[in-house]
Amino acid sequence: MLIFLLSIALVLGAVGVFIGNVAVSEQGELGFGFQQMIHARVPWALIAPALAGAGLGVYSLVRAPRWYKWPIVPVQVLLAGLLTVYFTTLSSLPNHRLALAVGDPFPSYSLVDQDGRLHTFDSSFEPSESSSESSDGGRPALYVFYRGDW
Amino acid sequence: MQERLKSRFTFLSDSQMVLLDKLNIVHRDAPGAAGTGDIAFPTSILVDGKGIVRWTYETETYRQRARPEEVMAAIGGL
Repeated sequence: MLIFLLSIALVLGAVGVFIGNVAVSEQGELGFGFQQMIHARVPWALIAPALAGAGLGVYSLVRAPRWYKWPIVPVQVLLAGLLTVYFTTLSSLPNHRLALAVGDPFPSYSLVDQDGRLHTFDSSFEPSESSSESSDGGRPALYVFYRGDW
Repeated sequence: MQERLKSRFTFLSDSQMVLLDKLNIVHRDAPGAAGTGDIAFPTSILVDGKGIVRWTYETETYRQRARPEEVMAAIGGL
């Protein structure tokens, strides 16, 4: 019985952390486990407890079959499986390759900022001719490409 | 977006995907809440004062972003 309760706690805990993070990220707040979700290629700290819980559930069912375990264990296996598939496969991006490498010149651009001002960057570093433009050259810059949301 | 993130950074819009195309980081037909569309692969590029790329960050999943420590280390290495 103790093992069965532990298995439920492990699966629910992992799923709860996952759903909690997805929910709070909409409000810009960082939740427990968030570091794992955005920085780990595969966040085993979330997946491992879910898989361990599902495994314990199956073990408990095989060792001491009780009627109340039959509806719960398949749900545990399903939830742990879904979490694993999401983190290992569903959240993957298609293969892509950045068109430049360290040591290459950054390409020229001419783009508008949040205030409608035109920003230009010239790879050849020729000064921009129009006074209404602001040139982004001459100082180090970090370019972070957003997906529109975060 | 600048207001929502309470940020003082400059936000440039590349709605025509000109720069994104040059960098080859357009995610075509990406699934999203509002259907599918073309958006950017999450990417970070550090460029020095001479316009030379000094550090890049790419990822295999849309969940991942560069760690702040990684970025600061790259900036410190300029």
